[in-house]
Amino acid sequence: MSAPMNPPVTGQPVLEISDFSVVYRTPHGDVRAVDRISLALHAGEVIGLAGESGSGKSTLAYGACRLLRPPALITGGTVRYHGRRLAEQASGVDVLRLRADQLRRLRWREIAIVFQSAMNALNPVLSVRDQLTDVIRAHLEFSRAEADGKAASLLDLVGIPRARLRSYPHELSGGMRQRVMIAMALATDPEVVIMDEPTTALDVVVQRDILSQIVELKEELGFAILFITHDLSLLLELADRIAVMYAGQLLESGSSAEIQREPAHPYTRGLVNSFPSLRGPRRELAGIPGSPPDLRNLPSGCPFLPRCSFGMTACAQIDMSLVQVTTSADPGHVTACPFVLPGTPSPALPEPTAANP
Amino acid sequence: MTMAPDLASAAAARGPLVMEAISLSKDFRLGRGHVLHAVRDISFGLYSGAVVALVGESGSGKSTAARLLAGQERLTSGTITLDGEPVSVTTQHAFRQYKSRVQYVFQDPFAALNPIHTVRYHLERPVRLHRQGADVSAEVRALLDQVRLTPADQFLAKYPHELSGGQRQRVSFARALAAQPSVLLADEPVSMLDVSIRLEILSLLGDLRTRLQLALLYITHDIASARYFADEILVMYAGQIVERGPAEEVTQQPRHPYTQLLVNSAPDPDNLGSSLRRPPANRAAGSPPAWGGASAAADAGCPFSPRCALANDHCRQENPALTQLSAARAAACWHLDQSLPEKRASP
Amino acid sequence: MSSTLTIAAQPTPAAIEKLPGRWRRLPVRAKAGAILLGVFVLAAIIGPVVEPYDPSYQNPSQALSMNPPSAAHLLGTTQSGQDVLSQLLTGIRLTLELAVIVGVVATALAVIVGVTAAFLGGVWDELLSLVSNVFLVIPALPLLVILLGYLPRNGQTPVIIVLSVLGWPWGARVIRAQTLAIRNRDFIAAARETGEHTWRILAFEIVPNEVSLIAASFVNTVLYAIGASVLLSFIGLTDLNSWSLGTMLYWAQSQQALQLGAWWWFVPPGLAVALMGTALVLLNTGIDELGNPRLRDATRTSRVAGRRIPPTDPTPVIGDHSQAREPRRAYVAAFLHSFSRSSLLDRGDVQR
Repeated sequence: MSAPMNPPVTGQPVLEISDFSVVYRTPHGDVRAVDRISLALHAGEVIGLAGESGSGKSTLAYGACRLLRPPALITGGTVRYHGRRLAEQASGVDVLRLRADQLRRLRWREIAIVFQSAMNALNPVLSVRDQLTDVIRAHLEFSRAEADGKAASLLDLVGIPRARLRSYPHELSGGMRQRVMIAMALATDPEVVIMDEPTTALDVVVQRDILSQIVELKEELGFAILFITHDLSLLLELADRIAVMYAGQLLESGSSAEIQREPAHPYTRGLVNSFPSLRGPRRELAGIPGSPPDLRNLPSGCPFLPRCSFGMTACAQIDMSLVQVTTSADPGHVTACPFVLPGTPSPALPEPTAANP
Repeated sequence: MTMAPDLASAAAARGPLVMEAISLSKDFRLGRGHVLHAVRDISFGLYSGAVVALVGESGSGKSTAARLLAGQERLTSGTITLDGEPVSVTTQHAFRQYKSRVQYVFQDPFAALNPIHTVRYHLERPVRLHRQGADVSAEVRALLDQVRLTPADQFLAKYPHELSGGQRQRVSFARALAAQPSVLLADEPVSMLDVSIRLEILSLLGDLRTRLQLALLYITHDIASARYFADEILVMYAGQIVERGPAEEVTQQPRHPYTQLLVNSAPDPDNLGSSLRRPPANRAAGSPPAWGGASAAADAGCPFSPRCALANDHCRQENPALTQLSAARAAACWHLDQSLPEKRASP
Repeated sequence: MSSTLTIAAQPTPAAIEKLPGRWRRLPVRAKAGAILLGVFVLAAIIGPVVEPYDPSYQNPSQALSMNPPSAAHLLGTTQSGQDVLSQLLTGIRLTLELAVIVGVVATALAVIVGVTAAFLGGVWDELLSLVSNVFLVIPALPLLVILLGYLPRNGQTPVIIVLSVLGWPWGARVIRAQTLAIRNRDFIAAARETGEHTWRILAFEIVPNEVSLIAASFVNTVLYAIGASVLLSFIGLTDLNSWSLGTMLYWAQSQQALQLGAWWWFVPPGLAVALMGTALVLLNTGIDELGNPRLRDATRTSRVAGRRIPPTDPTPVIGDHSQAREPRRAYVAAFLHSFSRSSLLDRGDVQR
């Protein structure tokens, strides 16, 4: 079993998010949905963003494209895009400084999004052909006939019979709808494709099919993928690098091989332990006690402390800066937990108690 | 496809037979003369203290089967027996009696609770309806204790939107247990919860099953959790049971091509040579794309034949019956001696 | 544009206190409507006590006929020397009384019919829908005229009966639609699982979830009742001895008040009807927003750092980023541009 050869990642990242923060201004006060997260995406790379409810993973991705509406506010950081088409500036385009019309050139043409629920993202009264040609003609200077041809070739690309151009979304199965979404996303040959839980509503067989197709297309067209999901086991198989988020913070980031071999952060460990495995011996699994965080009521220091089996008083004072994992083969493997060494066995878990089911 | 006469159930080891489904079928009449055969001639048993898992994708008929057992839908044909006696629910009174034996838990924890009522109301109603003469207040507290929502006082006055997903699902369990049923039908009880709390809720269910000797039907699309949680697995496809047997055996040595496909498709973090990292040079020859789902099932012959790499004319014409493979195992396929070609690169 | 914005390092405990009081949290429209309506309700309640004269008292003195407002008669007098203000106060009370009774009866009917039809389904649904549709389709005004012609004319009772009988179908349809949607939700199936009786499910599980819809239906019906009763009185079909606002307008019209320039006779009742209607409409939109918080968020524009941000702009960036100003399109170009499909993609073009 040879180790997989990741495509060599060199050069400038296509999308660079640094110190990015998003705040929701609610009547109750400010809620930090994303707190100083940094992420770098290179061409041809698949970065997995793993997290559960309240982690801020979707907020991060949509915020980076400035798709969030007030009361969401971006309160800090930079988002730089270095695409081949916009290469006139060496330092890349600062997404946060763009006006609406400039953003329109960036969105979809350069950065495309495949949304979670295709049934909600597709217009129920437009046929597949209309939706595809809409997107094509909104961003490219194509005539009607050219757009039609391009739409047909896009369906070929994702493996849908051309006859389906005339169908409406409700006439397609879930898997096919998601493929149409992917075709729409790839219509303008973007450099970055953000996928927000694209296969969560689909069964595993269709999921594997669609994901294989996406990987094939990635190899062929060379775009980068930011894959957002709660399914860490899928990311371990699919992604090159994984970033684990919790309560708006980045807890761990590294190559998936290393995270799979030896997860550093206690949360990642707990998460990996939450997926019953089909292969291998039947292990005793535990999950993570407690409930997902309430972003309005975060404790000071590490947000994972209430649920952490390693927790100690010092954890409430840390500032969540990332430290390198020295035992890892990946030099970029970092964790937010300065105390727990990978490999330390976890202490016996406390009995599940009252207010934390 | 009635159950082979001498096929035992892996779950029978745990306790006596409580509920049996015999040749259940359910057809839905859609417009313009189309008929949807949601459930086709399935048979299985539920045993005290055992978990039987119904595994399948959406459209496989697993939820419909559970609703048939719960009495929410009328059978098109077949019989359900409870403690050996056939069940016939015709009046409201008979329905309420049936409900005190068989309870159903819903998938979506938020939708299953009425947003305008408190937890106390949700629990008091079934207690008043099924346990006349009991001390309502004490019973309600005991229920919250059972599902580990303590201190009870803290939760009684809360509304559903003030609870987390896990807490809501526990309230749903408590409500079902208020009727003191012998059978609990859990329809995807954890699939809408956060991953990290799923196992805890499942272990609570397992605990309740042991303590109260419940016969549990666990419906899921996640075969990995069924391996972990269930005693027996029944794999459903297009309304039929295509494979059954002890959970460990079915997941480790699947015999039906669909089960093999399911097991191969589940995410496998240990597979470093996965096709998802490095796509194969060309797709495995002869394997048709697996999209289409259960709706692509053929009307005659084996329902899986349109998607099966081993399918031949015989498969397309004649629907295989469950063939017994061992004491507790059976699968419905004409090609049980062959195996679906492996899709991933060999290690 | 750049301004420093302090974001709390952590939400302080004080920040998670109770929200501002319930009155302040109501949408502006509801508050405006409620206050306006409150004025009229107050007038209705204290009117008969406060009115200076008996509205029917006809002052024989010629000098007091058709007088403009004066100290003795704050809103002037009618042709026969009656005090307009007293008539107005009585009129407001009678009209509101009638409208509220019609509202209650018609809404109760609508709820019963709508919920039953939706929940029972099948043949009952068909039957009840048929009945509602028949009532909806029949031209209301001719029917009202005919019915009123048959009923004895004393007091407001005939009008109340007739308006209630014709006022429930619209609400019934709406409530039926809502009940159909609720009926399929899991918690209703769960209530059935618990073994609840059907009537209990209807009364305690379904109807409480429709309260805002029922309230809106009630307000709507009251509005309709005011309009219809004024209309009927104006064309002289109701009891002309009771002083409703419509009756005032009837007499004003028949005595040529408009041509004679006696504005004090028809403007107050007309204005009263219009304002009551406005108040009810405002209240209704307010109830809508209250029941559906998403409507509120969609229309509200937030203020950030002193600048109003419409909801469809790209996410605002706070900090020391300076936002370049949008290019200003000429008005005509902007108007034409708003018709193109691409304008749907960027609403934030024109800078306010």
